[in-house]
Amino acid sequence: MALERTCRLLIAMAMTSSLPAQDEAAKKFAEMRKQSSEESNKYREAGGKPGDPRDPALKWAEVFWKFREEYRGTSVAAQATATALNWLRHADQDKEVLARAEKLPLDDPAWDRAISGVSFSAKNTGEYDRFLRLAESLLSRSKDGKLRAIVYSTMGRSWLDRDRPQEAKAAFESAIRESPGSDTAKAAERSIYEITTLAIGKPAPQFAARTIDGRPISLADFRGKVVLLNVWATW
Amino acid sequence: MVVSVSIDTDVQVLRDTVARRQFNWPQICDGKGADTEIARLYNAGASTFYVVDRDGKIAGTLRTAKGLEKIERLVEKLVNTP
Repeated sequence: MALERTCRLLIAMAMTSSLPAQDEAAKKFAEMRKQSSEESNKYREAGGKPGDPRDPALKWAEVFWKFREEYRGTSVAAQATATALNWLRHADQDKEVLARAEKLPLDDPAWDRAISGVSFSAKNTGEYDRFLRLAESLLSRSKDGKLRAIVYSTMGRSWLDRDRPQEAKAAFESAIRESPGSDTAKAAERSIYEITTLAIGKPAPQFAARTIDGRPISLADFRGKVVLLNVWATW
Repeated sequence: MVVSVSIDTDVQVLRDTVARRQFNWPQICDGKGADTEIARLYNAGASTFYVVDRDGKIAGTLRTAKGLEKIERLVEKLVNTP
């Protein structure tokens, strides 16, 4: 009885003594994110070009990568890994992103956050098959439905980028099967809607709205004209 | 013909940006953000382009800010085809 109680006390002590370390890591990570965003925004607003040696994105990619190594095993380490790769991509270092992704262990907890960034880099270099190989390796290894859904849905978007809607649809259907009802599944459903209803040659969905000047506007107004519809945000 | 739909939630910010950048084509924004009807109809997030031909059919799409030349070429081709 006494031994059991001592054990429980020791476990409780061990748990509480690791909590401050997690908090410290989380705090440091939040600080880094804030600072890196500020520096990068300032650089870009001043006309700085991505990947120039003075691009803070390059420095921050390494800072986040070191953080990943220093705080290995914590939940923020996974976030730091994905963040590091995002900063590399932001600095147009897509080949480096792919190289590091190919060295990342398949059981690394960063994959659910990192895989979509890796697919963007593969798209940027035109090396879609490098991304596909990674995705297939992850699928052959992981049984985690949530991760599998994310991988399938990222594959789906990649197929869409390559104008392969049939393969894309199949991938999105797999994503839904792996994690039904999840946000990933819902996005996959919207993507399937896009493939079936918004395909080239299909009628552009009608809309009737008002411009910010208060004038009524509808797509039908422009029949006979070529229309470039652009959805955007100021941010 | 360019039509822009903004998924900004603050319509005033959008107005200010449009005025400052002197965009002189129709701007739609109802402040509903990404839930706005047109964004849902076109499954569109920030920086999505759809090219609609003279018959109202979808002729092309682009989902990032990179690769705009592809869209420019498509629009030119469609505009120059009677």
